[in-house]
Amino acid sequence: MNQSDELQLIKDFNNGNEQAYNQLVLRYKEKIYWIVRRMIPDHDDADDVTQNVFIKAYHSLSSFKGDSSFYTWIYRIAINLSLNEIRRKKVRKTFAIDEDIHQIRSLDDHPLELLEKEERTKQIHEAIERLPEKQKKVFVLRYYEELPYEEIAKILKTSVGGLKANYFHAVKKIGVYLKHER
Amino acid sequence: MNANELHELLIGYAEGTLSPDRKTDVERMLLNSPELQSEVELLHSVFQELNTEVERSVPNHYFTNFLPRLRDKLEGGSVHSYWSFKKLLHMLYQPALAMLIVVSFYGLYHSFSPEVSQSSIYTLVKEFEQSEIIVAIDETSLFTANTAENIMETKLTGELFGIDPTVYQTENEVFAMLEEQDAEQVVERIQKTGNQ
Repeated sequence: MNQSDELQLIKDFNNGNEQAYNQLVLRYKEKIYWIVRRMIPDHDDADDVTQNVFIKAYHSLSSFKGDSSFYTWIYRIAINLSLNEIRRKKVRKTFAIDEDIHQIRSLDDHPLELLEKEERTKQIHEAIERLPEKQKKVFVLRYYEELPYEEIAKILKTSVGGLKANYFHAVKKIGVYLKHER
Repeated sequence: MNANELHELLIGYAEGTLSPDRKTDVERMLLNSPELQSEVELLHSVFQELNTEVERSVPNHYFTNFLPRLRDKLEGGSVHSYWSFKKLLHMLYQPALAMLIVVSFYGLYHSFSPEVSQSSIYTLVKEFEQSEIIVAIDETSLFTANTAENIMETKLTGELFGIDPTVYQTENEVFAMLEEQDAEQVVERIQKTGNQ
């Protein structure tokens, strides 16, 4: 599905075709879920936010003007709602990072190695969790989504130069945290 | 080379995504700068760690059920495909906390604010039916702290002393209209009530 197909789907949806919306959801549900999940470690919370992203899209598609691509638009919603959830969570701070890390087990995995890997993964997620908001957004979009800086700049409405600096400092901070925890 | 360009080069080098020429440029820079070397080592270690990251788990069929659940929400329902104890705890957490705070403040307020007990109010109301003076008091105001009870007592007291209910609004105004003798009677009654 290319960008013009997506624009057609949005047009169809705005003309009352609910199936067009369903197709957009089917196309983006996993991508959006993983962006959210990288920022919000808990699955249940990430699920809530992902659903809310699509609900917001459902109610706002009529105002989508096509100035940017659909995925830029919906990624932006996902990032903003994730940050809102993180801010809300900070007030309560009741969740534990990565309660449910689950290893895709292979025959080569020794139980001790597995435990070490899980512990290390937990530390990585803690390090990401501790990043300032902007660095966290940039890191998730750049490292996990592998988006070019130019695309990230459109999503976050910021300059490429600033993004590069944010990404560099995010990686460095994660490194310092992991070194300290080792 | 500005800072952003340097950052991009170092990150690219640590990620292993630079072209051979650019890679050589960075290695040349590193030879002359132990500071840059340690930065690159740190960045490199992060990408190595990230490569060993364990996948986060997703419940079975989560993505398959996603659209039906979403449609359900959009069409007015809020059904979740699975029950989550943790989610339930999160839902109950804030109301429970709010209730605890309210109860605490209520307890704190009443521990510092002596007032006429509920039973003595009822006794007074009963006494009113027998045409006696109805007044309750706490140590800080002439009448009880409870607003609803104040209103009732103000009205009853006004009626008892034959004062037109349209000319007063507060218990103090009622008191101001009482004849001196009647006021003494009220005070006497109040003292008696307080001693009970």
